[in-house]
Amino acid sequence: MSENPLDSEASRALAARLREARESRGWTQQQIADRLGMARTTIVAIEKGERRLKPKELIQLSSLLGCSLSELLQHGAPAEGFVVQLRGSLPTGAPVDVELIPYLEEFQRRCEDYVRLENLCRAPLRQRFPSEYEIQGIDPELAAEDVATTERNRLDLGDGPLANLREILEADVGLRIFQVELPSSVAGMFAFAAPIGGCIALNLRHPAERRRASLAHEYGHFLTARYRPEVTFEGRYLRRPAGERFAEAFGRAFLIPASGLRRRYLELARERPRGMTYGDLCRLAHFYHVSVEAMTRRLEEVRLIPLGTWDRMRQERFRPREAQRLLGLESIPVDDEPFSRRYLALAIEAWQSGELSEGQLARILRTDRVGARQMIARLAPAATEEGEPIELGAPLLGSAGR
Amino acid sequence: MSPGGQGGPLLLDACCLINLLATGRIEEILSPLPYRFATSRLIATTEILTIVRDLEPGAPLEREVISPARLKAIEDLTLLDLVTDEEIADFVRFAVELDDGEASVCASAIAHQGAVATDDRKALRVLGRVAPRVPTVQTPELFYTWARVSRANEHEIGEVLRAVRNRGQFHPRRDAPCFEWWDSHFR
Repeated sequence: MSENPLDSEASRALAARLREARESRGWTQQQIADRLGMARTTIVAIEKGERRLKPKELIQLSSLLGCSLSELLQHGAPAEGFVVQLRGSLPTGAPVDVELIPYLEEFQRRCEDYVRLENLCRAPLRQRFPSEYEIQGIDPELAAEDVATTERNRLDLGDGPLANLREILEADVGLRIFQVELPSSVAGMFAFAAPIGGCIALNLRHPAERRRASLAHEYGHFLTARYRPEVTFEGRYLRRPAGERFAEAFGRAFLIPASGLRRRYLELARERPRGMTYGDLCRLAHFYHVSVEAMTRRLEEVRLIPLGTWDRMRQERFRPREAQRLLGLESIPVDDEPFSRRYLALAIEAWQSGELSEGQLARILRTDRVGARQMIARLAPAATEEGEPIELGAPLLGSAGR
Repeated sequence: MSPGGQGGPLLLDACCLINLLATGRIEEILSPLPYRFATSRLIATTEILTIVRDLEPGAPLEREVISPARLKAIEDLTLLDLVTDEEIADFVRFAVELDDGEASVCASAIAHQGAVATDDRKALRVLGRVAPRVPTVQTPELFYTWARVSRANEHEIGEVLRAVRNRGQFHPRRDAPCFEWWDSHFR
């Protein structure tokens, strides 16, 4: 057998993981020591990486902390301060704090798994972050329009709809974006920690259009205050702070740029001398992949329709979903994948090349083994009927290209 | 008898165990095989093992969980614990590269001078490097031996292998021993 892993450099990362696991359960070192029949000073030394653990002790500790041994041994040191920072952004003493901790930890673990996959496949995510935009002292809505236009230009996105916002922000900016089932009151989360970079979690319980709006909103936070993590609650504020107003307005302006919207509105106006119809509004919302409410409010914001139009439509009990169904506008492909396509491709690649075992693949995809096999069958079908299996990690140009 | 002739049991990793369970007749398949079968108690009690539920053709796939009690009830399958200090140390060493279930099976195979049944490329690689004397068996080989020893007819073999493919979602690698035999039942 190879050398004892508990002797190696990795034991420092293990020590940090053990401390993190204990703290996340809210246990003191004394409580752990009592349960294991050890002195508190021993636990202190273990968590500092100054005392070598015996294999039996490690198994006892992992079992007590409810962690799998492989997770403790295979992950590097945890991302410093990730959960702590996010907790710090929550309203003090709120009961939601305790309820949210497991979600914050899961968010951190997913981000760490992503980095681990990149390391296994030697494919680091390129981070092309712009400098933080300075918006202090500027009207948030005005700043949002300006930053949204600048970002659209920087990313060469034009002023049309963004069908694949998640992929754009991952590939062209270098953000890690997950969809997780969060408490309904939470729209999304944003955190930035070395060495992981910028990470966003969206609430999979929310409809797809709302998630897109939340993604643009969190991106707004990233652009202006990336070192200030954020958990975005629905309806948390009676009076929104400037940063929140900015993120909200940025989301609308980024998803529906004023210039493109004006042009399309004018084209419609030329076709419709009697003005825009409900059907036109529904089609426009569908075209931009946003809700009818978001489109109506945006049209109000850029003064193309009178303020209060959406409120009037609500009073009239307008039913957007039914209207869109009548118009046959139901076919926007919905992205309900918890993990991005890149994450999934890296996971399958790592499994195909033998860098991940089936059990590890299942864990990294948050499923069981048969669930992982179904995922493989969907993304990289085996060679049963269609010829050779597709090796996702094989170099395109073979050895000649390198 | 065991695959490597060391006299120890054949330890089933979770991936092979799922494939056997997917047939719906694991006892019948294990019984005529010339091995003593075992798996780790860790796999039986902590891994979530599922198979695809048998539904009408075209229905969306649903998975059902195999309860630990189901595994404990299999007469020809012994559940092994990690007992000695050496075994526990091996478990920790394997867990640096594999998941807990896979690591426990490998450690038990060394301790009991047994063999490992796994289809996992990484587990096979790690085992080959760390404990090259531990023999390994893969799913197609296991079913090939069953077909031979039980003298099952082609119809029965086809049914069993299709169950492994459909309910276990298992597709062997092309370089797996007995792949040609396996594949011939799907052509």
